[in-house]
Amino acid sequence: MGILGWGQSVAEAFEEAAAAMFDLMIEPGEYKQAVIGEVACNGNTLVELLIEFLNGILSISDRKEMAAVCVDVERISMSDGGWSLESRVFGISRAEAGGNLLTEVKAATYYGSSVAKGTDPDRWEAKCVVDL
Amino acid sequence: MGSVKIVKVHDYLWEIPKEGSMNVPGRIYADRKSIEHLREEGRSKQWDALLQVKNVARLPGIQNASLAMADIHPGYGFPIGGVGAFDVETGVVTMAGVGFDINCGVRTMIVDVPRSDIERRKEDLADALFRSVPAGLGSTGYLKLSMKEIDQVLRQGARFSLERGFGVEGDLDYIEEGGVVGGADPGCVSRHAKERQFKQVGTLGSGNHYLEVQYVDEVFDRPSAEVFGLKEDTVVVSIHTGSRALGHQIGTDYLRTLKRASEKYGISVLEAELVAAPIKSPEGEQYIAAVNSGINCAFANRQAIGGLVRNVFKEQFAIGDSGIGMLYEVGHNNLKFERHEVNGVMRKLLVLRKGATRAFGPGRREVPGRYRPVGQPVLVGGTMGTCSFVLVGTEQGMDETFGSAVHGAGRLKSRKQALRQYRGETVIRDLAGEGIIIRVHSKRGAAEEAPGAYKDVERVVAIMEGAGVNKRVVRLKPMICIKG
Repeated sequence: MGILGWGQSVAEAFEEAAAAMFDLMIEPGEYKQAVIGEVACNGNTLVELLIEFLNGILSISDRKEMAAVCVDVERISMSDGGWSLESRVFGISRAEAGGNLLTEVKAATYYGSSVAKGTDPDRWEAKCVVDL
Repeated sequence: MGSVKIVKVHDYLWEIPKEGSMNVPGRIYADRKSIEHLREEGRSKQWDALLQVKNVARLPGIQNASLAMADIHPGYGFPIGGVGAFDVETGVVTMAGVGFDINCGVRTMIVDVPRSDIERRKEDLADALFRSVPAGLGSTGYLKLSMKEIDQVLRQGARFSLERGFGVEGDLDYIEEGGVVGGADPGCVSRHAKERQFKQVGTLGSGNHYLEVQYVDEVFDRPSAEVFGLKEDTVVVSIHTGSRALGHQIGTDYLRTLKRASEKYGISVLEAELVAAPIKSPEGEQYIAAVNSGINCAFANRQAIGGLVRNVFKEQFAIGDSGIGMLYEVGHNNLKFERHEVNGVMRKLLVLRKGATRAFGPGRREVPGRYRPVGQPVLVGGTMGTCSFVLVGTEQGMDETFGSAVHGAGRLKSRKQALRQYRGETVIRDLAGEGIIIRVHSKRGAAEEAPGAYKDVERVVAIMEGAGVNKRVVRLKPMICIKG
């Protein structure tokens, strides 16, 4: 299943791509959220950073037995070693989510992935295919 | 895209001739209609399964041919239905050839209860199975494991679950590899992967994973069916699942390791997931040890679910342990060291099967003694509304495909297309009208898995039989389907 997020910055596009992934996993709705934890990752390219970021969210959600519903990308930066990201993930316990849980996402993959400015120069787009 | 040159060998086999940087040709088991569909798909989309067959043919050390079974469809770097065998000295191992769902496979158990009794109590049985077998996103198993116990799972495979009360000793004789592979090293599996699995042993998962109660609808090869203990109306239960989150995390973790290895060893990366390392390199050996750990995790998972299923039948039909026994269990996302004949010489190879089932023919020592005269049962899942098959490998299949078979129907429509076209409620209602009871945790999942989203499994197995590579033994029709 392909997911696409866009925004005025790379961070916003990443947040929206994650939101698209969450929509596959839990019915969209108003949830009383708690902090699941922090996802920090790095990548040689923005695409690698995106895939690491999404897979990091899947991993921490499983480990904490939570359903992620929102993520706040606090920082994306570039240095000689490549890109790095820091984020905070929010969600609800899976027990609480109950019947609102949908499909498991096994992994975010590189297939069809890109992070680039769209035709609108103020719009960043982040996309990839997730394995269900 | 869509420009791969392909020539017909015979009605059920097509070849991508060796050219340029290809080390071997590509060979695809397909009829003309399937080839036209694959070509069209390659022209119109980013996904090109034929190009993926060609890319795999370029990997170092590949032997004979880059193969695709009749359920071929695009995967992540390696086509689903793809098989590649690699020389252990000069060859590579690629993450794409195993995928994210390590040792996903099927266990089929034979139930000694008349079909008519099952039919009479189908609703109650469906409810009991749905209550007893954890399925769907966020489900947790009955086993709550520590880090030390997870390491035991990764070393012991099915025996871990058996020793905790799931199943009976004789089950292991009818699991591929006896339910455990050597060469597993939990030290090569990340802490995150293990933590994700603490509560997931004994869970079905979601997506295309299922538990089905089925009956034998037609027998095609009576001698083989007799050896397998199958006849018309025999009731079976099939469990389709894999190594769960642990396997997914191994795949994710080693993408980066193998990407760096590809750069280090100068291996061309033609698609992102087709990253690879030499089999005899530290990175290759670590990945293989991690995958073997994942394989054992899947064995433990199916053993635990098999135990739960056995208990439900015992409660519902007052049968003993012997009233529900094993037909067989075999994976279809695997790597294995196997011995095969190449150019007249028996050699040890690393065989990758991505969405392809091992299908060893008569006489192989890896096949349980009772089945050895005819070959191992090959378990092929269809869709929840159509049918599944038990096949058997052939000697021709051993020669042509390293003893491999299809693994399922193969998707025809993407999940997104399926969601646009079908509604979960309607799919469940229509199947109920055909006498098939569906229990799902997510109705969206039912829409994604609608029978119309898959290729015709009858045609897929007919292609393999037409090619002489596999033989149909029996066709199974569903009565109950449990999905995540």
